[in-house]
Order: sequence, then C-alpha cells, then structure tokens
Amino acid sequence: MKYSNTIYTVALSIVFFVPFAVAFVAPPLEPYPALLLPSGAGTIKTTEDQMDFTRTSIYGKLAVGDSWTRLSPSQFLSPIPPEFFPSLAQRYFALRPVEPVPYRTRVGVVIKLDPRKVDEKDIPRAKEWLRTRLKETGCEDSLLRICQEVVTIRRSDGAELGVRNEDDRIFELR
Amino acid sequence: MKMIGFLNFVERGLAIAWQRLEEACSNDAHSLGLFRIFWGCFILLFDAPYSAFVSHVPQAFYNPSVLSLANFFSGFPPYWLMLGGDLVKIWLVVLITVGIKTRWCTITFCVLTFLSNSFVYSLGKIDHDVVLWTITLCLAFTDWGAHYALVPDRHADPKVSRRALATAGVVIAFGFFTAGFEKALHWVNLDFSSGGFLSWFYPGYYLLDRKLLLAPWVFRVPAQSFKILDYTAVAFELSPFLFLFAGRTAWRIWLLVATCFHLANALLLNIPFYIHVLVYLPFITFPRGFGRRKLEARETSVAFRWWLPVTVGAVILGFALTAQRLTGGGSQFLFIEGAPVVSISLYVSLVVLSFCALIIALDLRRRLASARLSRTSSPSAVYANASSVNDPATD
Repeated sequence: MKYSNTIYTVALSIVFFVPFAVAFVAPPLEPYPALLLPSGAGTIKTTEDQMDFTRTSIYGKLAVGDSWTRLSPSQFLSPIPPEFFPSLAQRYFALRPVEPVPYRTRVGVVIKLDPRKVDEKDIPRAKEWLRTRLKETGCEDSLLRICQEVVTIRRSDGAELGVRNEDDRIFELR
Repeated sequence: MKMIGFLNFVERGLAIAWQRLEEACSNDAHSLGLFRIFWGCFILLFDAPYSAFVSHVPQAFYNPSVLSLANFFSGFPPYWLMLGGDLVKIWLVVLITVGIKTRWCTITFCVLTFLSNSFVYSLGKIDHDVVLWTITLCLAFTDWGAHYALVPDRHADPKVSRRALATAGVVIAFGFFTAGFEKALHWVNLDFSSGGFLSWFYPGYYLLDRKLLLAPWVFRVPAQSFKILDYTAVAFELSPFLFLFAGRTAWRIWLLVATCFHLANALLLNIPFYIHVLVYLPFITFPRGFGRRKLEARETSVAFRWWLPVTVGAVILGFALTAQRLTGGGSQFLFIEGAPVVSISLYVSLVVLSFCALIIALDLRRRLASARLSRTSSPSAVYANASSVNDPATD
C-alpha cells in the first residue's frame, strides 16, 4: 500500500496522543483503556521539619468499651485491593451523596463532572456489606466513622505531632 | 502536486525511522518462544487473572470513569460472568504457555483483560498496567508462538513481526513519556526547597508504612541532595525514544537502566513494579547466555522433552488457580490472599528484577563482545576479500 508508513504512524499517534491530551488537560477525564503511566508530579517542601499530609481514615467502634479504633484499609476492604481505598472512602462508601465539583482544566475551561448517581435501592446492600466488614474486624456493626484528616509529622524523627480533622462524619448502618 | 511531493517526503522519512526502530527492537523467534513460556509462568504465579471480587462489591460503589468501556454498563456484572471470565483467562494463559493457538489465545486474552479491568477500575481508580497488556497484544503479531510450542503458529510475515516488535518499543517509550512529561514541568527547576522524589517517599513512609529495605536510609541523606534524583527520573522517563533511535545496543542499555530504576524504587520507595519485567524481556535474546545452540538443537530433539515440564507446570498452576477461584477465594500473587501480599511481593520483586537485570546485562555483554570481535576482524576480512579477488587461484 502506498503511504503505508504514514497511515500507520498517524493512526498510532491518534491512539496514543488523544487519550494523553485528554488526561493532561483534565485528569478526572482519564480514559481507559489508554496508554498512560502515572506521572505523580507533585512536590513537597523539604526545608521545614514539620510536614502535613492529608488522608482519609475510617474508624469502627470497639465492641468492648466505648472508643473508636482506626481500621486498616487492606484488612477492611479485602479482597478489594487497598489501592482502591482512597477513592471509595472519599465517596463515603456511597453513604452520602457527593455533589458535582467544578474542575478547572489546564486550558481554563471549567467542567462539572456529575458523579454517578447512587440508586436508593443499592444503599441497604452497601450498609449490609459495611456491617459485615465491621463485624469481621471486631467492631460494633452499627456505626462507621469516616474522617478527612491532616496529619502533622516531624521529619527528623518521624514522630506524629498531631491529627486535625477537616471533616468528621459518623454513619448509622442500621 | 506539491501535496503529493510532501507526502512522498514524509513517507520516505517515516520508512527510514521505522526501519531504524525495527532494527533496534528485533529479536529472534527462538528467544520470543522461550520468553512466551517465561511470560506464561510469570502471569500464572505473580499476576494471575482475578477480577471476580468486584461482583461481591455493592453496586453503590460502581463509579466508572466517564471515558471508560464500563460506562456503557449500569453496574458490576454478575459473579458467574466475572468468575467465568477469570477462568477463561487463566486457561488462555495456560494455552499460551504451552503454545497452542498462541496468536488467537493472546488476542482473546488481551481483549478480555481490557474488558474486565474496565470493571475493576470502576471502583474509582485506574491502575496503570496497560503497557504490559498492550505489549502482549503486539507480541501476538510476532513469532512468539512459532517455537517451543505444542501446536506451533504459522510464522508471521517477517515485515509484520518486525513492525509489531518495533511498535512494542514505541509503546514503552510513549508510556514513559506520558509519565515524564508532567514531571518535567514541575520537577525540573532550581528550587532546592522542594522535592519530587520525596513527595513520593514521605507519604508512603508515614501513611502507608512503606518502611522496609533501604527506606529508613533516606533520612541519612540531606533532603536537598535528592533533587538530583528528580532530574534523573525526568531524564530517564523522557529518553527512551532517543535510545530506540540510537540502535539495538543503546535500547538494551536503556532497558537495563529501566530495570535498575524499578529496583531502586523497590528498595527506597517500597513500590514493587515487577510486572514490567514482562515489558522489557521480549527485546532480549533469551538463551544465548546459557548455551543457545544447545537449547535450539534440543527444541526438536525427542530426548529433550521441553514441553513436558512446561505443560505439567502450567496445567498444575491452571488447576490450582481454578480451584482457588471456584472455592470463592482468589489472589493475583502466589495464591496469597490478604495483607501479607504487600511485603512478600516487595521481596519477590527484588529477585525478579535482579533476574531481569542479569538477563539484559548478559545479552548486552554478548552484543558488545560480538561488536568488538567484528571490529577487530573486519580489516582481515577486507584483506581476505581483496586477496580472493586478486588471487587467480581462488577463481
């Protein structure tokens, strides 16, 4: 075929570059499948001895006593791999409606992504699933606490100096 | 007229470029056949198909990306369908390993993997193992099923085979480019008060308990000196196209550096990115370091039944994985379920990546030695040719 190399190269470029351009301009729109590797291009201040990290934590109420215990994501979610924990916890395990958040793309256009609407009839099943998980970790199965936290750590010795709650919610699972 | 002239110019330029890429990436069919067996055993042991768990997850968690195949569906598929998909994929890998209808099995396996992963990543996060499956798809169009196979594939058109391997090289180079491009925008600067490598390290160390191997040693080094790692990472991730165009030896040098890069990540950041072993090894001449001639002679020898251990091993692994799935369990890594996978996979990744580095280094050493040999022997070859032309006795 005449121009076979040109046609092949153009086709390959479209398959590779279009998803890359979409993901670069608006990361929440990252397509799948697409030939993309994670960039992880964030930076951190290295001059100060104290560092703040944000994390989402889940707590269960101990069956004995009245205190909350922080649950290990990998144990709580198993067999769901722990890397899916942040995305699930940030959506409050579908226990709370998540509002569409406006997102400013790199080209300045603001897009509003509607998170998938959770069907009301699916929520009892989600609560049942969470109750089973809590029971398996030795906690009371009626309450789940989900916190968006800021952890302050001293770099020189790794000591945890404090945890600040940015958002703290307790969900009834009954 | 001008347009046609321009198109011809572009076509000629691209033909030269692709030829260069094909030379850099080419590998012989015997090596690809041996690599296929390694690929199959590796997948069955360390990255076995397991996606049925998503059907046990509440439908309320279904949150596919806007631009995903899963967005065409209203929820996670039923358990029997995902389990069936896993079992089909497991046995396709067994067939690929022993070499039965390898080409079709590979294409079907990759399509099924893209489909099932679309549902797994509907939990709200996309994992980035796509390079491995894209390269596997490219290998379907090579001769990787033509040797060391129970039912060998017909040899592919050499042009198609060479182009497929060159495309696999481009896939790696572009994949790394997508990772390096954004890093270059944020990491390459003279601001020594911020760090990119450390932005991976500290959250991992403090929040995800990635404190094994050399991670504690990072604190003994002044934070500012890690800036050099930021520059190195960007240079490494943006450079594969240069190495691809530089030729076979340069490309293998980059593959060796890439393996060392993953080893360093495992040691310092405790990130075990071991599946990339299957991305780098298709370009390596597999058995030459271990007596290639003997292996090739044995391929057809009745005495050396290569297929016996391979078939028995693959079938046993296939049955073991099937049994695990049918009893409601499942794991991708060495049949291990739950939290211990994290630390065990890290240690295994060190062994696997070291093995990969060794194989690449051996191929590189052989390649450099033969290049040296051809350089030293070339004057005598010229002399021999010249004398054969001039000497009437040789006519």
